Amino acid sequence: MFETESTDHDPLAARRRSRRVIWGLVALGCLAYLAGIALGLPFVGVGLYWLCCVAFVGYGFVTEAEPYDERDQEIQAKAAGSTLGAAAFALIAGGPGMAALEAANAYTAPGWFWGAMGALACLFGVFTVAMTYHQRST
Amino acid sequence: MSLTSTDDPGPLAERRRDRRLFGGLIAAAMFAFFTLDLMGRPIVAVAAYWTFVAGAIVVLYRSDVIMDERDAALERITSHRTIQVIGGGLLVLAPGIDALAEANVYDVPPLVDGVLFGWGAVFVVWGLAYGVTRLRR
Repeated sequence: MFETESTDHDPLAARRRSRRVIWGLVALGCLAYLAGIALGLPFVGVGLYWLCCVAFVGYGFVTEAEPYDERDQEIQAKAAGSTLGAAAFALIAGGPGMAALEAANAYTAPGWFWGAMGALACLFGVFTVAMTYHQRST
Repeated sequence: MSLTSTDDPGPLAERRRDRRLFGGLIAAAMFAFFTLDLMGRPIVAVAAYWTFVAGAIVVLYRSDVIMDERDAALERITSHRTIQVIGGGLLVLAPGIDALAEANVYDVPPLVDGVLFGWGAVFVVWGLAYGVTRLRR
């Protein structure tokens, strides 16, 4: 080995590598799942998929590389804010509007509609919990 | 009136007023909706609800003191965490539920399909918002 050669930690290479591992695990999990379904072994597919999920989370704990920098994280957080705004609008406009249509016997929503509204309401339940947590911790 | 007293309400009083206005309008919207709905006038109830909510949104956007940068930053980080939690739940649960249906073990009611659809839609919107935010920088 030359004396000038360095084994220094290269953060950019580490970031590239960690992204490759993460997205590789995602692709592997999806492929395993789809293969399981296609082969008529759905539980094997899901088992492998969940294994990849566990590996994904485990890798996040083990690795020291940050797959996304502050700028990425800020963009992600901004996008999340806009998403919650859109979800609030859908819930406020859609929920009572559909309830009124059903009460007036004008239109009955399909079964999944109230599930979707429940999903959005749940989103804001999580948001409230997270808000309480972050307010306490800052 | 003494020389030191002032008529200017100041930003803190303004914020208190705007926050009360906003909360009052939301409370009025809820109250109007449930009262009129119980009285058997669902369409009127929803119209009143939307009117009050629209008023609250106007107050929220017109007032520049109701939320400061600190609130906005808190809201962003909270939204981020919310999306992560819901996303994790969706990614872990959805294939499991699908596999149960594929194996003819258990078919979930349409309500659960709706929940998964709703969370999926949230992610599609997040993806779009991410793309737009990224391109605008």
